[in-house]
Amino acid sequence: MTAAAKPATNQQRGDRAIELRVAAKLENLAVLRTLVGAVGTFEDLDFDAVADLRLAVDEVCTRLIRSAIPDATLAIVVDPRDDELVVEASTTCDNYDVVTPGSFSWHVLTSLTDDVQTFQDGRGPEDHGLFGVTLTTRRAGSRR
Amino acid sequence: MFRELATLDADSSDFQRHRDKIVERCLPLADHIARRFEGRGEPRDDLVQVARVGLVNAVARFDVETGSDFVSFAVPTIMGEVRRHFRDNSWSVKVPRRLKELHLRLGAATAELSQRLGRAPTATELAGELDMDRTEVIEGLVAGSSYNTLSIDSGGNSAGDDEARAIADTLGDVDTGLERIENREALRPLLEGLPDRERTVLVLRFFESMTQTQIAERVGISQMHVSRLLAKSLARLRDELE
Repeated sequence: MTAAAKPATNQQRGDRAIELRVAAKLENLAVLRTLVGAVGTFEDLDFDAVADLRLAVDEVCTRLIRSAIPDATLAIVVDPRDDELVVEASTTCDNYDVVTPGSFSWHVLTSLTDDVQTFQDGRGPEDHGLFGVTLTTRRAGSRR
Repeated sequence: MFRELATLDADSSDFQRHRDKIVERCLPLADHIARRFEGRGEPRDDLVQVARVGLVNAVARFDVETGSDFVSFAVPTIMGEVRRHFRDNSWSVKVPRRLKELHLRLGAATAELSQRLGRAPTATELAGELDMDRTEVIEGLVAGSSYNTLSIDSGGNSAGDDEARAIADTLGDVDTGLERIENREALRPLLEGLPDRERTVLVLRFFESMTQTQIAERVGISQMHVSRLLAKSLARLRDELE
């Protein structure tokens, strides 16, 4: 499993990175989707890539919200880089089986984006640790 | 009745009373027109209300001296009012008319560019095509994504449906893609349970690696519609696979 021990720190994020924190509730999915769609469009991803990324965010965030502990906060960071757009979503989960390689969900995410990684802060679900997923979409010019 | 109305002083209470009587008599006409627009995503009461406003306008504007009968004047006036209501309200959030018109232009240009490029365009390419400011294009695209799914012309295109069914028959091809998925035995019946068009779109995207634009062209619907169908199917599969 491609799991990093720690989420990307602020230092690694680009100047144009945007972070949004919302209650980990399904009602907030629309605003998360819209944010990612707007940034993707602004960053000149082609419309197929934007539409795919919106679907991927829907998938990841729904999974995270369903595994989140009560009153958890979901953080999403949209980080435009020179050759790719990176979306990182994370929340406090009561289990870490949010998305696992081999699942249909994983197949969907890897079809919709160029790279999928999971990360955790090492505390584990018992200690209210953080679990997150990073989605990477390469820009048209640097794809394939 | 209109002849009698014409003889009265427009500011008098007699005039108003007489006009109200005409409106009241014609209410069934307005309600009948409202009913014709039901089931298109707007609440019934709103439609009746809007149609009645159209009727009041028609009564106010009707000129008895033209010799035409009131009904043939009122029907298009009322329908116009209802149509305007749809145009202004079929957005899930209020969007200025300028942006709605922009959204339509963007849709047309996107289709044309996709054809020419063989893939979906970017905001910059679209701005270049329309000779517009990039920021304005982005603003329009983001507003467009909040457009209500239920549009006044949301009727399905039957030729597209047939085509969708024909492609869906080839579900056997999915097997190769399914091999990589651990819960495929649980997934297969759920895929088969999806409506034909939803399944076709999902299979083409996730098991045949076609882009949303390519699928749109193949199935004969817009790319935005492909996106909506995929979102719907994925949500359904998520629930069912729990």
